[in-house]
Amino acid sequence: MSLRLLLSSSVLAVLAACGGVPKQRFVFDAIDVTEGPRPCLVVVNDDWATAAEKGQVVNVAGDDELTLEIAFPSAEVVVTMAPVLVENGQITRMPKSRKEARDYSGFVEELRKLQLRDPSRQLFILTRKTSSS
Amino acid sequence: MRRTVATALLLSLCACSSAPVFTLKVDPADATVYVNGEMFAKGGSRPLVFDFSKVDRICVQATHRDYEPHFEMFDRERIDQFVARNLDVTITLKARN
Repeated sequence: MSLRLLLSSSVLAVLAACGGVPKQRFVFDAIDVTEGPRPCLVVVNDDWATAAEKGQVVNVAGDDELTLEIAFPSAEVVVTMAPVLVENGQITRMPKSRKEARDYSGFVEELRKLQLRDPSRQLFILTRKTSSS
Repeated sequence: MRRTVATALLLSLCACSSAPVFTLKVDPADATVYVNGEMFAKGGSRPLVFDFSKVDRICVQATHRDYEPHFEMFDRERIDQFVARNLDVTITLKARN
């Protein structure tokens, strides 16, 4: 663990002890390698149920972005950009896991560990599933 | 000409701050480069300011339809190493199978 991450963890621990979990606003977007918009479900810390319930989606109704305020109870939060298939502006089948997202959509999900002071705009570039992925 | 002036202006502005500037090179030359989620350049090489005044890490991505996309986070520690070694930031995409 780097010194910076260790310090961030310490600061977060102090803030948490004082009852204030820091939050940061991020803007998420997803494209594929042709740079076209890719519909996705944005899953925070593997909480697939909340992501589906709160409609944390991007590029489903059109070419758009998702703004999310994320709490940092620890130094890092894991965000999964899970690809979905869309028909008539609706997700055809809501994935409940990384494997489902990959199997239903034919694209490979991407995981990213975010820190509190990371850039606010987070772009994910997804690739098509291959026989080996 | 316009690009040269813009580059010179950028470099002179950066000379007034402590933010390190590197030449960012990408291969293949027509790949698209994104910095902190925003489109930065379409191929070639361009000076990039690594400004950590508002963030702890800077995200560099590159994509091309015939290659695997590239994602890399740079923190101050890593950039200091580039400064010490006087290196450019070079991204070489891997061809897709």
